[in-house]
Amino acid sequence: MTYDTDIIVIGAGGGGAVIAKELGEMGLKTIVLEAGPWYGNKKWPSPNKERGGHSSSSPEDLDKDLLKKHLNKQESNMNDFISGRYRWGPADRSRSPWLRKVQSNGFAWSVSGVGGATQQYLANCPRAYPAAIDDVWPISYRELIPYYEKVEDTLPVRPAPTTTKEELFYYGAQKAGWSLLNTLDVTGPGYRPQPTATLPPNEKINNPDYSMEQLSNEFEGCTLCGHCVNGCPNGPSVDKMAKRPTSVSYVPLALRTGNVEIRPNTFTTKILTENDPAEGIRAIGVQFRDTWTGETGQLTARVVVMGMWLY
Amino acid sequence: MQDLYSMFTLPPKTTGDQHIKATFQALADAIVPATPWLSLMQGSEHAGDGMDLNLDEFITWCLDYYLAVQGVINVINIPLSGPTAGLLDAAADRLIATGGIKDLRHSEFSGGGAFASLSRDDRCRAIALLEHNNIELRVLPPPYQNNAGLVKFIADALNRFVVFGYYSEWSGYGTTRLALPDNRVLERLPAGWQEVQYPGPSNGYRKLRRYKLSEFKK
Repeated sequence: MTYDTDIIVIGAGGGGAVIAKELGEMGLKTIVLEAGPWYGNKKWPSPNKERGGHSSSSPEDLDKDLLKKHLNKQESNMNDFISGRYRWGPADRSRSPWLRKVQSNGFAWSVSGVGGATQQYLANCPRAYPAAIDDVWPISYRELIPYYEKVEDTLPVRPAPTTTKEELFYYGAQKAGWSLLNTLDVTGPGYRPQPTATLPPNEKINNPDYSMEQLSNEFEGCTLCGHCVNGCPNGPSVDKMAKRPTSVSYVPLALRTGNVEIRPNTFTTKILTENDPAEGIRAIGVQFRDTWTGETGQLTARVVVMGMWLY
Repeated sequence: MQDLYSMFTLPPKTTGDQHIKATFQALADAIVPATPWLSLMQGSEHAGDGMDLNLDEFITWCLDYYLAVQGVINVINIPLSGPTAGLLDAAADRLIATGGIKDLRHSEFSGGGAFASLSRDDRCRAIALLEHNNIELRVLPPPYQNNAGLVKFIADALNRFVVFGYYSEWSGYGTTRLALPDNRVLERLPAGWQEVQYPGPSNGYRKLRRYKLSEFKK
């Protein structure tokens, strides 16, 4: 059987974008299907209003000015869980969000779109507690460490800088008798700067010779604006935005391999299988729906990776 | 003047229903009550409440926009504002019937039902009944009837709608506040921003002090 591609990855968020970059670097042709929109890509200049392009496979398509236009730091516009740019729903905001049956109090603030929920996360990247892994998962904490290190180097993850608020928190924690934890592997109580996937503030940030606009648009580094949850538009290029959702970290790296194509606005509806005489039932592709036109299609691949949240 | 309603495709217009309006005015008033005493101390921008900002319109818009299901041919929108107003009344009825009323003062929201007539604290108690499913599920209007999960979910969501409407920039969208999200224009300083004298999002702040740790130990 001939396949359309080596790998299909479902979802371009915290999981899918990472595996796409890793597989692309191994030389495997990878197509990523993402149900939501793509902000900051020239192929989709008005991602919530028009269907735009079909797919993007080049880092040249990434556009800093578009990203800054799309991520305008307004809470309702960006984060309203029903109608915001960051919602679990189609790119077209004249339509309702997708139905998610949450049968309890609370809600899952998942987000469709390239970058997934990392688009709005606060860049806080702690490792799991060893006690939550060992003898609980079928894998040990020690086995996970190399993978943590790889991701922490790539995003990258560093101790958060200290502003007035952290200073107050540290003061309180010290007064209360907690000890400073200088580690990523937390085995006991204490306090520490959060491990953050945000580029450290530029060394010029406190220098009034440089305007805040310059610091936001021309230089690398967090500007301490505090709008992480609304999407971060601070940086000199898409791949150097201060906060590091996969849309500005792993996705540009994946595209740079030349082996990865990402299709937004493509909702995977079914995994296609066949009964292989040797392997038994196995996945051979997916069925999908274009969220703008409703058209359906299918793609086949040697391997299908599910990188999305499941409920 | 441009017809604002021409900018809608969704939700269907549940405007003009006085029972729905009164019920959600009462909801907003329970969660974000007016604080007239603050206006005496700190200025009139502190007096506002969920009602002043027309939050009932925001709640109605959200509920009517929220749910759509795939029909045979196209996507069908199911407006939830009417059933949700009924849900709150059912919770109020339950509170009254089970002797849960703690405050005999009652409120006036013209056109309202049982929920809108309760005191603020009792309205909160009625919402708590929904959160804990302490209610007869079979008497509820569809789609809530016998749907414990959806009742719990919406009870929480009502809280979020009010808070998101009040504290976000929504009130600043002025005459475009009920347009589709991409057609909304910030026309004035949102009420919450005025209240705390927040000038709006900044490119950043010169607030770097130091690093508590330069690296985590490997």
